[in-house]
Amino acid sequence: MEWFWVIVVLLLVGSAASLLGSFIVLKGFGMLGDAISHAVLPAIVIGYLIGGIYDNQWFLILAIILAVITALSIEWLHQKTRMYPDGIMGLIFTFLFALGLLMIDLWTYSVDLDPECVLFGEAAYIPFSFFVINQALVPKQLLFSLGIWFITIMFTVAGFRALAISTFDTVYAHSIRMMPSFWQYSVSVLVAILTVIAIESVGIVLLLSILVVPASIAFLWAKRLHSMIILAQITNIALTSAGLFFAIYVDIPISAGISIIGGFALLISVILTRKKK
Amino acid sequence: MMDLPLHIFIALAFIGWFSGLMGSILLVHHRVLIGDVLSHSVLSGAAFVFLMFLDVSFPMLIVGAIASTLLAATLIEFVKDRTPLKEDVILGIVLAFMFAIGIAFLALAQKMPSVEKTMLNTLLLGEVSAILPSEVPYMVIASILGSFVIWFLYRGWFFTGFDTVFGRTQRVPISSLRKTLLFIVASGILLTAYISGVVLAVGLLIAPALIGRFFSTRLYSTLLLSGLSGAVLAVLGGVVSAKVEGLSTGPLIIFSAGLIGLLTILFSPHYGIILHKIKYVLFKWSRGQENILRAAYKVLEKTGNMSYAFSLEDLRQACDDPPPSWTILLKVLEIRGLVKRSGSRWTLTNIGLEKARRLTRLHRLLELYFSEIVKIAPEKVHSYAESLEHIITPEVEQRLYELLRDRQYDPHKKPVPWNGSG
Repeated sequence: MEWFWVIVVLLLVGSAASLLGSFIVLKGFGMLGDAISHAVLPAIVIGYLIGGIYDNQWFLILAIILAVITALSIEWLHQKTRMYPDGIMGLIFTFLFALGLLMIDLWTYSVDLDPECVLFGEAAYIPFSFFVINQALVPKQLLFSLGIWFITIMFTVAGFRALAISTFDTVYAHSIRMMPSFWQYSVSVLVAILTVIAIESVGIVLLLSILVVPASIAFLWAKRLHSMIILAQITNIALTSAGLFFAIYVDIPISAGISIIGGFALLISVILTRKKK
Repeated sequence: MMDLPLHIFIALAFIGWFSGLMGSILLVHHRVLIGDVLSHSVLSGAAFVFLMFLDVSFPMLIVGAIASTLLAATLIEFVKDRTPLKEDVILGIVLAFMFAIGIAFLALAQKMPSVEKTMLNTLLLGEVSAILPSEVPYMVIASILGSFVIWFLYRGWFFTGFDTVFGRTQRVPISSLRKTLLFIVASGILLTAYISGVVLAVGLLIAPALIGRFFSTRLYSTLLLSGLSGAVLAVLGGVVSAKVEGLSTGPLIIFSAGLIGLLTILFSPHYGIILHKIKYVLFKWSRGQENILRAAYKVLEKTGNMSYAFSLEDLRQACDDPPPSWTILLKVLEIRGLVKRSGSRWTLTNIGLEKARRLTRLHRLLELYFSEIVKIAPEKVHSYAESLEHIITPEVEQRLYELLRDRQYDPHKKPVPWNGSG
C-alpha cells in the first residue's frame, strides 16, 4: 500500500510539473524552479521553529509566501534594473539559501533539520505523515499534490488560449489586452507553490528535472502545442515508472533515479530528432 | 585575522579574487546560471572518484571534479548546438541530470566502510576549516593561472560580451571564445565550490561581479573591482566565522556577499533603484518648497504689502504647480526660517522674502529669455520656465542676469524684481 501512495504522488506532482513545464520550456526560464526551491529554506526553518517537526503546516504556508515573494521580486528587479534575470536569480537564491543555513546553525538545538534532506527529498518517505479523514489514513502529501494538480489543470484549461498566445507572441497578446504579464506571473506563482509542495515529497532535484525534462523531450518531438502537452504527460508517466524501477534496482534515491533516466531519455531524443534552430 | 589561520586566509583571498573574475565574465555574457550548473556537477565527479579509488585527496578531487564539470559543459554545448531549446532550459536539464548522478553516487558511497565519505558531504555545503596547508599551493596556482587566461583573452571578452557582430568583422572567433569561457569556469568552479559548497558557489561568483558592474562602467575596471571585492568578501566571511562560534564559513561568505550585492543593486550611485527613487522624492520636495515661496511672492506682490500675512487659500490660488503636501512643506519652510506662522496665516521672513524674490526673478527672466531670444509664443513660456527654474545652475543664472540686465517687465507685463524694492 505504501508504494502505491509513493507512485500516485510522484505521478500527480510530475503531471502538474510537466504541464507547467511545457510553458516554461517554451518561454525559457528553466532555472526558476531551482532558484525558488533553494530560496524557501529560511521559511522552512522558521516554520519548524514555530510549529515543531510533527504535524506542522506552518512551514508550508510560510514557504509558499516566501516562494511567491522570491518569484515576484526576481521579476521586479529584472524590470527595474534592466539587468538580465540570470544574475538576479543567482544572487537572490544563494543569498536566501545561505541565510537559511545560517539560521540552522544558529538554532541548531531547536531545529532538527538536515539541509541535505531539503536538497534531496526522498519519495520513499511520502507515506509517513498522515491525515485522518473519516477514520481513514490519508498521506498528507497525497492531499497536497492532488490539490496542486487540480489547480494546475484548472488553470491551464481555463487560460489555455491566453497562455498559448502570451507564450508565443507577447506583443500580440498585449495588443488584444490579454495581459501577458499576468499569465507569466501566474505560471511563476504556480511553479513556486508546486516547488514548495514538491520539496517535501520528491525533492529539489527531481522537481527541477520533471519541470523541464518531459516538456523538453515533448518539445523536440511534437509540432503543435496540444500534442506537446499530451506528449509531455505521457513522457512523464514513462520516465517516472522507468526511473522508479531503476532506482530500486541499483538501490539509489528515487528522485535521483528518475532524474538520471530523464537525462538519458533527453539525450537520446536530442540525437534522434532533427529540429532546426 | 586573529583567529583565521594564514593558509586559509590566503586560500580565501585567491579563490575569492578568481571567483569574482569568473563571475564578472559570466555576467557580461548573461550566463551566470551556468556557474550553478557546473558547481553542482562537481559533486558527481568527486563522488565517482571516491567510489572508484576510495581517495578524496585534493589532487584526486581536482581530476574528478574537472572531468565532471567538463562533461556538463560539453552536454550544455551539445544540446545547445543541436536543438532550438532555450539556454535556460538546457541548464535546468543538465543541472538536474548531473546533480542526480552526484546524489546517486553519494548514496552508494554511504554504504562504503571508509570514513572519508564525510568529505563528500562537506563538499555539498562547504567547509573552509577542512582546507589543509598542503592544498593551498594548488589553489593559489590555479587562481593565478585562471586569472592569466582571462587577462590574455580580455580583448576577446570585450567583443563576445558587447558586440558580437563587430567582433566577427574583426575576425574574433566569437563562438570558440564563448566555449572557452565555459571551460574556464568549468575548470575553476571547483575552487569556489570547495570553500562555499557546490550549492552556493554561484553566489560567490555573482555578488562580486554585481558590485563590479554597478560601481564601474568599463570592462577593465569592472574586472578588477569584481576580483578585489571577491577577495575581500571571501576573507571577510572567513574572519567573521572564525570569530563567531557555530556559524559555518561557506554560508556566511555567501550571505554577506549576497547582502552586499543586493544593497549594491538598491543603492549604487549609477543604477541603484532606491537611491534613484530617493533623489527623485527629494527633488520633488525641494521643488515644492520653491513653488510655495514663489506663490507667496505672487500674493504679496498683488497686495503690495511685503509683510502681508497670507493664508493657505491665497497660496492655493496663486500656485500653478501644487506641492506634494502643503502642511508638511510649510512646516519645513518654517523650520528653515523662511516663513513665520501666526495662527492659520504665514508671513515671509527677510531671508524668505529674498529667496522668493530670487526665484521670481529667475522665473520671469527665463520667460523673457524663451519669448525674446528663443522666440517662443509668450503663452507657452510659463511652463518651460516652470520646469527649468528648479534645476538651473548659479553659473547659468548669472549669465541670464547679464544677458537681460536692462529688462523691467516679463512677457506677461509683470515687473522683474531686480532688487529689494520689489
